[in-house]
Amino acid sequence: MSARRLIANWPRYARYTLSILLFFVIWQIIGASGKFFAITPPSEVLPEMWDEMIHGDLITVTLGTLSTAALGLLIAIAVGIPVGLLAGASRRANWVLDPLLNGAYAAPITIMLPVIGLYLGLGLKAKLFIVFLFCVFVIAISTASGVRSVPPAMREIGSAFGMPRSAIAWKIVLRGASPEIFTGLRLSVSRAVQGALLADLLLQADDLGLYLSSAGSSFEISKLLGGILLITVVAVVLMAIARGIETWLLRWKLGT
Amino acid sequence: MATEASVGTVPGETPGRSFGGGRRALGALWSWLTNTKAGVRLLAVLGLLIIWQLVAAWKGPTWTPTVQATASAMVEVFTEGYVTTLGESLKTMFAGFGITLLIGIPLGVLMGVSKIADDLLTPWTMALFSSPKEALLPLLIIMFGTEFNYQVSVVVLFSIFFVIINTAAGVQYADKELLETARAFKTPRLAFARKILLPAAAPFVVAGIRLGLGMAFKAMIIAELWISVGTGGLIDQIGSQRQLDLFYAMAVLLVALAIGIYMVLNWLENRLRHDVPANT
Repeated sequence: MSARRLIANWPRYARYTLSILLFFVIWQIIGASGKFFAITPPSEVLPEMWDEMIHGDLITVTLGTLSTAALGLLIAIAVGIPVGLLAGASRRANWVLDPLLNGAYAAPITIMLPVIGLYLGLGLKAKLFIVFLFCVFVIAISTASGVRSVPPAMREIGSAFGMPRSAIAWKIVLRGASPEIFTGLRLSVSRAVQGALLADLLLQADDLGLYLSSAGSSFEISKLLGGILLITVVAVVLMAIARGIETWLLRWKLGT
Repeated sequence: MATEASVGTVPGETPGRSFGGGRRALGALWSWLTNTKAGVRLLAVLGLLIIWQLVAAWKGPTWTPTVQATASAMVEVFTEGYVTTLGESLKTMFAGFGITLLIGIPLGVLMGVSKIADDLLTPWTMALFSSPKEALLPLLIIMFGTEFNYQVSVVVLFSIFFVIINTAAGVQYADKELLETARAFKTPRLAFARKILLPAAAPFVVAGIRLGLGMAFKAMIIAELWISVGTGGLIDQIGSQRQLDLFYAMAVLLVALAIGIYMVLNWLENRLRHDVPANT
């Protein structure tokens, strides 16, 4: 993303900015009108949010939820990529894994919440497991499809030139699969945050989940809206960073 | 999806071996189980059921119900009226998803045909996609109470992104690829929209509906779990009362339903895609 491209695309970024500004103006008008009990204007929400960040524990709880997300995501990566490689490389493994992974991906994972305490308790282990399940299938599915997208001819060329099997695996198969793998990883970033927040809301109120639900149940609307606004912005920024990293890592591919 | 392989399906007469008839049949069965897609899958399913059963036998019914217990609880799900609760939840979900389609498809078409609309709406589709929408649950409760409106709003919030974005992609694809040809043949604009744009965009729209409906189903359960009503409330209740056989039966049913929805729409999408050139 060069400065030149940024300048060339200025009308687009101007429209993005305009759209966001417009949203805040409408929000201000609706909030200030006082017709809607559940909407306070940004002129109240933003100072409250700032105050909660500096003097309150909004940052601490947000980081708490995000670290659950990060840890669960790491476990999902450590499991998902090998499983995906296996499904992509072995036809027989894929016969079994393909319906299992796709089925699990389509399944509503949240139905486990009422009984997960029985197996893993209500603490960090259970939360990490939820995040893990939110991420692992999309990572494995995209890794497998990445491996399958590498043309067999590429592998054959590698062996024709006498590349050792390990080099073929690393330099041809893994590299060829990397665009799909990165897509899976990027998608799982937002899923990890969703899983962590869901666990913090529904499993046992904790971190940002506790912050939001207690603000909600005590009708501290500005505090609630501030929390929602912060996690939304953080999630969008995280996804933008993930996309940036992805583009940077795959510049060898995009350049051609 | 791997291609159906017929490698070494039936060994038949393997040279150098002299099994009896029964053994040969057994050998052929084993070969089928380990070398064909259907066989390997059957073996995997049997394996999973056996592991489930062993775990159940080892840890007892307070940890995992047996396969039979879950199966007989499944009968109970249908006879004791639990499916009625599920039906009610699904009705609410489809009401919400109807609103998603009513808002999402026009917005998607708008984003597909107008670059300005696309740019103006992109920050919001991005936010809808990336952000944890669960954060809004406490707010939606305050706004809509715990009734129908609340559930519908959660369903719309979770499912609308896929409908908008896929519709937009379909219209953009059709517009860009086919408009020039249509112009060259002087196709009237209305005929173009009806006969070319619509069929070309249809598989994309159905893909959006497939992904969106999947999210709607998940959203329905999340919304209900949060306030303990409907199907979410039911699994919350039987889960915390540790009626595990019933819980497992409900879980199997819900997962099967989610996969069923996915498969039907996937099939529909593939059928519609036949009319469209394969390369997008």
